[in-house]
Formats: sequence, structure tokens, C-alpha cells
Amino acid sequence: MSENENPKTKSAPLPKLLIFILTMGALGMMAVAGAVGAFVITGWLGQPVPVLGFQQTFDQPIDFPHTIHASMKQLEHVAADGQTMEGLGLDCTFCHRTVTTQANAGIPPVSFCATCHEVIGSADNSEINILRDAAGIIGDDGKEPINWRRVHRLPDHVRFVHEPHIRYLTQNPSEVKGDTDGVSQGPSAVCSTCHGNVAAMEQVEQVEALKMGQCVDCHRDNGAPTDCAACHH
Amino acid sequence: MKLNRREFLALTGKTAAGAVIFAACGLPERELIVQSPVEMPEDLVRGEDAWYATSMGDFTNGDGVLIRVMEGRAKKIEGNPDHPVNRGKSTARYDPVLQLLYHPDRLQEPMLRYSKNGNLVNTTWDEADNRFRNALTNADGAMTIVTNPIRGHLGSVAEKFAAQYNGKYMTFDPTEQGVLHGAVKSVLGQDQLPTFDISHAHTVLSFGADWLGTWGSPAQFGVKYGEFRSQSDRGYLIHAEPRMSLTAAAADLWLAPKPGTEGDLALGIASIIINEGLATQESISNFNTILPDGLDGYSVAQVSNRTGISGDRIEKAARHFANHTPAVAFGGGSAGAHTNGSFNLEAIYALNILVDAVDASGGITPNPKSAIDGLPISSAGAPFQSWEAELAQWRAGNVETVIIRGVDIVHGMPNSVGIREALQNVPNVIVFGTVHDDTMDFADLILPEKTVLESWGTEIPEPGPGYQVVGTQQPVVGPTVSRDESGLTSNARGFGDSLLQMSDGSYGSSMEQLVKNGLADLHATGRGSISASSSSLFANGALQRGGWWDTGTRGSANLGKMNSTEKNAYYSDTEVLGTGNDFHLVPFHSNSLLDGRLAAAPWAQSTPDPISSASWSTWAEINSKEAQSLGIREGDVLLIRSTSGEIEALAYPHPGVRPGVIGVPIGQGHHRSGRWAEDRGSNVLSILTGEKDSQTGALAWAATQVRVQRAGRRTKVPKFEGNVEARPIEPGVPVLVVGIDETAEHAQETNHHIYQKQFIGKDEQDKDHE
Repeated sequence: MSENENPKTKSAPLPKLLIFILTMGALGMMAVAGAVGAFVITGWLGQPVPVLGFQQTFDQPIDFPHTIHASMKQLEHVAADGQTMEGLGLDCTFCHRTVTTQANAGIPPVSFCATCHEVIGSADNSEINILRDAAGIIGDDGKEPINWRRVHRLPDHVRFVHEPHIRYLTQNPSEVKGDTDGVSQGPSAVCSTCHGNVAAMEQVEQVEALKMGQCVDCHRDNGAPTDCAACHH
Repeated sequence: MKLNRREFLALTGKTAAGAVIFAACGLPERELIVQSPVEMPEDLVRGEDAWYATSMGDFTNGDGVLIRVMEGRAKKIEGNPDHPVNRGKSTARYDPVLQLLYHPDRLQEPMLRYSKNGNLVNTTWDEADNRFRNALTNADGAMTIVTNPIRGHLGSVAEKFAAQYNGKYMTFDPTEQGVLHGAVKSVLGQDQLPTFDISHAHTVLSFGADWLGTWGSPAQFGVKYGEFRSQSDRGYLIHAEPRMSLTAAAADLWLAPKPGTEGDLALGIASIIINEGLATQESISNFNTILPDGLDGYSVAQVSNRTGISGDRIEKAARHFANHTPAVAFGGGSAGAHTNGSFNLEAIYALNILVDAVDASGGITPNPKSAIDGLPISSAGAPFQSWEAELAQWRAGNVETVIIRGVDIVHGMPNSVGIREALQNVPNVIVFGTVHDDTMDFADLILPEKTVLESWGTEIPEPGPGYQVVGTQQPVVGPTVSRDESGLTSNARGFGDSLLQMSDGSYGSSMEQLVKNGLADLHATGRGSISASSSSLFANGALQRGGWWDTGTRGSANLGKMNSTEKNAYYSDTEVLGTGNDFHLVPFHSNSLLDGRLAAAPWAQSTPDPISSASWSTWAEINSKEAQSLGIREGDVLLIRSTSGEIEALAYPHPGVRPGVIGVPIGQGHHRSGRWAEDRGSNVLSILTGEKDSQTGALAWAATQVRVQRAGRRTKVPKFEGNVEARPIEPGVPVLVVGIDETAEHAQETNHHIYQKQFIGKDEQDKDHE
């Protein structure tokens, strides 16, 4: 020990265990930060990773299968009498009646669903019975609306109007990007450009990012306006 | 870990704050719900919106509107292009009515109070009807119906209902226009307000009335103003008002007289026209007949001294008015709200005789009588003098039942009349309304009333367009179901239908039937805008167009005399008001809230005032130089005190106010008026003193003197102005910034040099120097 060294200030070497813990802690924090960063970046660019309630689909008040109503194919569903089922092939506009004329596609009223389902569907089909109950056909608690959970939602500062998009894609079928059960023409195929093949979904989910970049790309490709006020008004 | 008490509390607070912040980041649940209603709305079958024509009832003076309805809900209100009054144009006061229709605080069920000091409890319509019926039976002649000034079938029903029960029908308007009606009657011989052919006038001379913003029929006048400015010579607008209103801001020549001297200014202008021979001998003779006392004492120097306006500007106004005809003069608003209000307005309307403007193109256009016999076509609030007498009866317990509709009299009456005490002494106070207001705090029975968008009625515009018009009002939405469809948004009834239900049926069974009968009467005349083979087709045609009108009908003027004797204005006293500086209080209507009837609607609250750009508050406009000398800065909380009480307002120093004048907007200061209006701002009406027009007994609501003192607090005035740096809308057109001590001409010159440097790179002065 030299004369200049003060024994009171000399530092003892860190225990190996502490070094290991600190290293692992730093690596762990980096991993968490990386995961969070990846989550945010994927959410920013496209759709967030489906964890922590960020999945793109939800359980709905009624387990409504778009497949039975919209598909044009043989289904995996089996009817109550054991027979295999074929999709009805309904056009989207059959239920979403205002999609060709208005901003909103429109959700069919309960009474509209009940037009068919008062008689169609077996009496012990629990999901259809929820609808019948809401329509006041069965049960004694009167009529009530059905509050569906929204799957596709744009931010409040975007004003999306369905009507011109449906009109343009109907008039320009070559720009339709999706298909409905393999059919890439017709009204339902038009919708698939943004909503995917809904006819094949047991539970509807968002398949396209529907972010501003996607909107702008499509507008640019099709000669549609790209100024801010086109959507933000 | 060891935590002391302070650390524990801090940690708890941070955790709670964090939880709130993270919760706030999420979307509200309702945003994620998309609903299948039970039934398909009638108008959704074709997936197209429907537009219904109707009238705006209480919120304008008879404008015709179109309402866009989609999925059973009213979405938008636009002007009706077919309607002769507003011709497709609209005002900031239309759309907020939608928010009254769907207001979250809308009264849902009838409410009653079992004792004067008891709480209000919800009740059924059956119980409410019983209570209403008993109140009428017990009244036995001691009953008063109070409404806002209403015309058409609703006014007729209220009148007849009061007569059936031997009661009294009184109208209330906090800024009553009875003086205006009186002046028009005495000078022009008209029972209803005439209209002004601004479209074809080359010069418009207006006094006190902010006709482009709030007075009369701004949508109608706005259309005419556009036509006035589109003429080859662009028209010339002279406006006299102590503060810069929207009309004053649009004027080519703005005169700011001392409040109450508008009549002097009018006669000063008349004196110049006569002395300089600018009018025909016949016109001068007619004018002298109207004015029995002559024009002695109205030389330019004398008028300049009394009004505080330079002689040059008075002469300029007089010469332009007389030389650039057709010209029209009219006034109202604060010009008539003085102790000499009748004199002021009579003198103003008499000016039209000098320029041959009565019953002439580009001048005054009289309106004809009612198209339907017995239907009231003109209305104004009862004089304040009558109200004082009536409230004395209420206080004395001589009135058993009071029915109130369309007015918040507790908010609208000055403190000095003791309206609260008067209501407490009336055994049955029955109030109709859509949102709980200050008057309902004193109600024994509250009845939810349908809005104008849910009710039947007719509306006679006042002022009309110069010919007979009957506007129709129809329900454009059905009973509104709440979002969860658990019940109605409001289980309301129409005021007219409620009265008819309690009546003996001799004057109708429902408002719908009355309206259709009225339209059948019009069909029987065989004239007007609609031709139809049957009365039902005629009614459909009228409802589709928003009314019926006959452009072939005309009214006629019948010149009378100036009756007013009191020429000088008197103001309230300020000697006993303690420390502060004296100002003359000029209340003015809010552009969007009006007198407060739209205060419950957040769209109306957030609409910026066109001059100050302020909203959501009560501000006080004072002259910039005067504010500087008194050390008052923008946002200083001012205590404004009169002998009737004290209010607080935020100082807004502004060059467009006459020195000595303080302008405060009407419409705020409600204790109860829905979540967005409660306890917001101050009620300037409450501190008005009881000065009255000497001729009509109307409240002289611009005759109050106040003492103003800083409260020692300061806050930000909520306004747009100055929040964002001004920038030119068009490139190359510089923003004109006018300083306190600068004229517009100086500012323009300064800006010119800045522009030269900015865009050309050098100043012309530099160039000259080189």
C-alpha cells in the first residue's frame, strides 16, 4: 500500500453474482423495450400484434357467421339435420343497404333479420334465438336493439364515405384487389378490396391495415385526390 | 421499503393519475358499438336522407328551414331556398336547435313539487294533468299565462286559453321591442313591423339595431345586404351605435353617439337636409307635419355637442343620405332602450319622409294584414311597467296559477323586480321547457315540452317580406328513442296541444288540426303560391314548401305624428356604488346565444362572437385607450356594479367602443341551463335598473350606468383572436395590423412598406432615396 492510498476509499470488486444480475436485467429490459418497440412499429405501419386485447376480431352478441349468408361455396357447417350446407351467396348490399348510397354501410335492423329468421333456423338454435328474443318473437322482455362490436373503425379525424368508393370500383373492376370466395367480380368482390374475403370468415376480422398510407397509395394509383381535405374534413 | 406518510400519499396520487391517464387513452365503449335498431326507420328503406321544410319558431323571426333527417334523426338545418324571408340562407342560430332536441339534460318526464320548499320528483303525465287541471280550476280568474312573443296559431291558442279561464296573457322579452312597435305605429301607422327594402336602397342609415347580427331578421337582412352591395354603386351603409357591432363593422361610415342621443342625431341629420335644401318642399312639409315641435335646437354644433360626434361626420352622413337615394332609415335595439327611446325611434323613422322612402322601392315597405283571420301577426314583450304591476299582484298572493313557456323570466328579469319572491308567492307555478332553467327552480309543476322540430304550428315572419306569408311548422322527427332504446329521450308534449287538451275544445282539438284548418282557409281564398284541387293537396304543398305566400298582397302606410314628449335621456344613478370608474352599460345580444335561449347548446356556446372572437364566457368591451389610462388589461376580472347588483366580466379592451361605454353580451349567467351553461359567465340582465321609456313604459335596458372596478384577478379571455399569428389568406394581400394609436390609413401605409420589402426586396422609399 503506497502512502497516497487511503484505505477507506478503496473500492471492493463487485461480486460476480451482482454483475450477472445486472447484465441479465439490462438484457431483459432491452428485450422488453424491443418487444414494445416492435409492437408500436407494427401497429404504426400495419396492425398491432394481436396480444393484450389488440386482436382484430371479437366475440359478438350473436355468433353471426358471414359464411352461411355470403359464401358461394360448400361450407364446413353442418345443419341441424346433419346435412352439409352451402353458402347463401347473398350480396353484401342485401343487408348493408346503404353502402352504395351513403357514407355508412348500414347495419340491418333486428326486424330485417327477423324477416327470415322468424321461420328459418331451428327453434333450438341458441344464437338465432338471441335474435328472435331481440325482435320480440320469443321471450317476454319486449324488443331490444343489438349492440355489435365494431370491427372496422377509422379515426375520428377521417371522414370515409363508402358511396364513391363502391361506385368507382364497380365501374373499374380491374382495380378490385380482393375476391369473394374466388370470384373477383360483382358487388361483394368490390367490398373485399378493403374488407377481405368476409364470405369466408366465421368471425369477421380486419385484414387490411386501413392506415393513411394505404389510403393514399390507392388514391394515387387511381387518380383520386390526395389533398388533406379529401379525407380530413 | 419504508414509506412515510408523505411518500405514501404521493405514490397513491401518482398511481391514481397514471390509471386515469391510461384509461383516458382508451376509446370510450360507446365508440366501439354499432347498433342494429329494432325497426327499420321509415326513411331508410331507400337509404336516402329526407329533407323536411319547416319554420324555426322561437329561434328566429320566422325563417324557413329545411331539416335533413336520416334514420329517423334530424342531422342538419339549412335555410329553405323557397322561403321568401331568408331565401335559403341560414344563421349560426339554426343548428344548435338540434342539440336542444337531443340534449343529454333534456327533461324526460313531468316533475312536480309537493310543497314550495320540497324537492322536484318525477311523475306521470296522468298525475301532471290532474295537477294542471286543479291549478286551473282553483285559479278562478286569477291565472296568468307567460310566453315569449309568439305569433301564428300558438299565439292564438295562448290568447284564447287565457280568455277561457278569465286569465291574463302576458309576453316577456328581456330586451323588449315595444318601443319599436310604438314608434312604427305612431309615425308610419303600422300595426306590425314594416320591412326595409335594403336590396334596392343606395344608402342605408341605421341606428342601434345590429341587423346583420342579431336584430330583427338577420338572415333576411343578410340576403338583402348582399344585394345592396352588389349594386353598381355598391351601396353606402351608415350605422350609428355606441359599440362596434357586426353591422357597424360592415358600415362605410360608423357613428358612435353617446347612448341615448340617437334621436338628436337623427334630427340633426334632418336639420342639415332641410337647411341645405336637399329634400323636396313636399317632403319637408310632410316631415314638419310629423314633427310638431320643429327643429329648433338641432343645429350641427348643438347636435355635435350632445351626441359627441364631430359636425363633419354628421354632415357627411346627412348629405350622403339625402343625395344618394333611394335611401332608407331605420333603428331599434339599444337606440330605443332609453328613457327617451320612443323619441329616438320616432325621429329615426321620420327621416324616411324627408327622402320619400315611405312605401317606396329602396325604402320602407309596409306589411299587409294577416292572411288568416284572427291570427296574431305581430308580437312584442309586454312593457316593463305592466310587468312591475303584474309581479306586485304575484307578490301579494292575488294570482293563483302562473303558466310559463318559452321564457326564463328568472334569468331575464332585473334583480330589482324581485321575481324570485314573486314566484314564491304564487301557489301554482307551471313551467314548460326542454332543459331545466332558472325559472324551473321555482316551479311547482314542470312539463317537458316538445321542441320546434317536433311540433305543429304556423309562423308569421315579423318583419315579413312586404307581402303575406304563413310559414308552416311540422314535426320532422317522431318521438326520439334513447340510444339503448330503453325509452324516449323525452316524453314531451307540445305547449299548444297541452293547452288544447285542458280547453273546452271550442278553438280546436290539436295543433295539427288547427294548422290544417288554417291551410284550408288559405286554400279557400284561391290565391297565393300554391294551386291545388283539394285542401288536403294544398296542405301537402304548403308543408312541402315550408309555407304559403302571396306576393300580390301589399300593405300601406298611414303617416301619423311623433307622440313622444321626453327628448332627453336619463340614466341610473351611480353615486352610492362605492369605488370605481363610471361607465354607461350597453348590453348586446350574443350572436349565437341570443338572450340566453340557446345557452344550453354547446355549438351555440362555442360559436365565436364576430367582433371579439370570444366564446364560452362573459366579457366586457371597453375602449382601448380608456383601458390603458385606467390600467385595465385584457383578461382582468372586472366588477361591474349598478344599483341593482354586481356581476363579473373579463375585460376586453377594444378600439371599437365609444369611450365611457362598456358593452357586455347577454346570454350567460344561468344557474340552471344544462351541463354546458350552468354557472358560466354572468347575467348582465340581472344588474339592469328599472328605468323605463317615458312613453310606453318599456324597460330602458340601455339606460343603466355602472361603476367598474378591477377585482384584482386576471384570466385568459377564451377567444380565437391572437392565438394564431395572422397570415394572408391570399398571397400578396398583406395582413393589416392597426395599432391602438393608429388609423387604418396609417396602418395601410406601414403595411405597404413592409410588403415592398418582403416581396420585392426593397422599399419604394429606399428606391426614391437612391
